[in-house]
Amino acid sequence: MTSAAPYEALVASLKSLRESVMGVNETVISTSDGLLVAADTATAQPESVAALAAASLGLGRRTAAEVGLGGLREVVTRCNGGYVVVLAVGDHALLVILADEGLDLAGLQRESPATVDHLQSLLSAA
Amino acid sequence: MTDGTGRREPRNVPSLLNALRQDGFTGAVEVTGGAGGTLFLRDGLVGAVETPAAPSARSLLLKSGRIGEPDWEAALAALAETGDLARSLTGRGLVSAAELHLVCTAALYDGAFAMALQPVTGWRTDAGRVPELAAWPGQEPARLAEETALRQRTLREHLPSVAEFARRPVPPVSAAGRAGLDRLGARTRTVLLRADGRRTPRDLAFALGRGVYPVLLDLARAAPGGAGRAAEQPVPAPLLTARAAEPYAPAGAPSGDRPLPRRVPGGSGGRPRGRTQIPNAGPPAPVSGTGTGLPEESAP
Repeated sequence: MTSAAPYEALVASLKSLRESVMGVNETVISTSDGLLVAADTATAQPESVAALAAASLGLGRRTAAEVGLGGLREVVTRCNGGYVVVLAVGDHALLVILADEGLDLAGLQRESPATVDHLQSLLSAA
Repeated sequence: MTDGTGRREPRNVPSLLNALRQDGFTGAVEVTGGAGGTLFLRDGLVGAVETPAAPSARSLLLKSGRIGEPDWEAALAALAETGDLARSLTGRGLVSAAELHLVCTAALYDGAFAMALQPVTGWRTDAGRVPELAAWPGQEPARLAEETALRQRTLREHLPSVAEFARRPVPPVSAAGRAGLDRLGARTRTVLLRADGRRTPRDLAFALGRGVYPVLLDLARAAPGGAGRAAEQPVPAPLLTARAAEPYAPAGAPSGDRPLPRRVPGGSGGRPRGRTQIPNAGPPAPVSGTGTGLPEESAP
């Protein structure tokens, strides 16, 4: 597999998530240290989002470990105009989801595990 | 699946709501299918609809800029004292009770319309849930169904499939099409200029803080075949003419002995008057160009 093929597959997976869950507007995949891997964005700066999301996921993990409430599932930033959801993709990558305030949360919870699995398999194959 | 009434299970959401109206049900009806949504009832009257498919009253007020975020947060902080968000908002003078009722009613009708575009796979009742904001005493379910059907009929005059059009991303206006945008109203132009080939009409409604139905109507009227078509139409087709289906004189017909066409109750619009408590609180007349849930335009 060439390096271009998994990149396109990653973007296709992001696009599919956006189209299947109402409210999802933009998505970014990054390494856990904040380097951009792939993005399906319109207005957000993917490099900045990748770096900030990596930091927030790291903080979330440390906080979860500190308070002893079990492993981190996701980091959700709820804003007046929408949501930023950061999900770990394995140990070395993460998925950032930018959504409007009408986000179908139940739909996201239904769809995101399969997307994360798929992304993980694509990234490990790359 | 339960209808909460113990009687024969209703076939669809409108018949469920009619049954709940007869029972005087108070509580929430959670509908599944598509993105789903929740209808909030009091004595069987629908006071609010919350769904990912359409902006809530909160979105209409905040995204449109009608209420600023700091003011909104201050109202939320005062919830402990007032116990009710509507009272917090009106008590702080951020919005009048009448305008809030109007926006809530607009969001209610828009939510019902947007939910009707999705497949319904089931529902359940929950007597414990209450909405964030609502337009009590609420609307008759029959009235809601009637208005939803009217909106779908209106859009079908421009679109072959309303549900399909609503699902698809709106293509961006081409460079050639931009020249023609000047001929459209500012409201329609704003919608078209936010289209980026990614956002669906629902996404545009959320981005602008407008109702899904008025956004769909603007898109459908401006450019049934795509945004570029806006440039080809010097004047957008007048919607009322398109809807006055039967008794319409052909062009060039002698008109000397004919009076001008007159509106009749239940005529082309099929919209009896005086059904809502506040004028225009319900659905907008499609020709008026105001659309549902445009707080910036309904603001004093």
